[in-house]
Amino acid sequence: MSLEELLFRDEIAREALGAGEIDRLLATVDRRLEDASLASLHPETRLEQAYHAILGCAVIGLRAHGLRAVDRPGHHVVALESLADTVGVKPDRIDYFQTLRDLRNKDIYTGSSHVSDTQALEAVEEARRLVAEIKDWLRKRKTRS
Amino acid sequence: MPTTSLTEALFPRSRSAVLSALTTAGDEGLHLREVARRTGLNSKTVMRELHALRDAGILVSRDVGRQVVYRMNPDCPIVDELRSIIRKTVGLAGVLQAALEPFAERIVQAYVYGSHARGEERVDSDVDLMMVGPVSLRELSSSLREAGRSLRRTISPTLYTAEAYKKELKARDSFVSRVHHGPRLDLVGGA
Repeated sequence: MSLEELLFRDEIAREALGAGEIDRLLATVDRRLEDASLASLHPETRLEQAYHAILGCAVIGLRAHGLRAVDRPGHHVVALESLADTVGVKPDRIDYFQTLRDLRNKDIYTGSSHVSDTQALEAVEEARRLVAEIKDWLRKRKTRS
Repeated sequence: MPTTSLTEALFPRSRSAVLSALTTAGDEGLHLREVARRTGLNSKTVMRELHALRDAGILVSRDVGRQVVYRMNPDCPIVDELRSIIRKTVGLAGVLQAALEPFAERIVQAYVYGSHARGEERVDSDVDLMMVGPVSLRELSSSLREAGRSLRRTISPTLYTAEAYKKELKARDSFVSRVHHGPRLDLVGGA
């Protein structure tokens, strides 16, 4: 769904970007990524931290456009979906991020999720890749403006 | 996949599609239009199949407002066997096997475990899917999400490399050991 459609459906709203806001959000994303990289943590925890780093990137993409996901059920889905239009992330990667969201929710709400080391490592790598892309994207936007 | 031809040999395609939609829907049941939407069949064909299955006692129907809702008849003497056949062929297993087909060469084992494998799924139960092999969740996600939309279920995948799976299998009371030796609905492999 495009940003215009999301705005029309009140899934996202316009909100002016505050001073230093992107830097604060980036610091949070870096912290999540750092935690996700800790091999001593359980794979479920690593996946959750990687997911939060990815979600943080989606929030940054929206905020950089002066937008914010409206706080209501499904706002994580919306934020992840918006990555296609804000940063140009391909649909198959967004599907993967949504799968991480499902796994993270299952762990939180049912306690019956099982995440292997393979899945946790992949999530960390994918999060690291997206964080690097977001930083590069922000740099390019800054250069252009 | 050979399982599809098994079903085709047993039921006409429209009948297996209707049974698949109704077994996946669970106790809530579905009205005619919804069955038509889920199966892609026209309303006339769906009505013919629903009536035939109801007349045979395989389905029961009830009036909800102005609609007739159909569901599997829990008192039918072969309902459990029928559910099992559908689940293993065109239902859950059929949809998941089709989703995994593009990656078949790299998946050495895949199966459903948990409530669906035990036949104890509820309307909102997700599908626990174990996969073993050199594939990534990222490349599988789009296919699995599409399968989830088709089944109206969230699919919860767990992925292991063959080495890690074998190691976990040997560990006493590990998660892998429990699900491997528990009820399974095999999709790929099966040793």
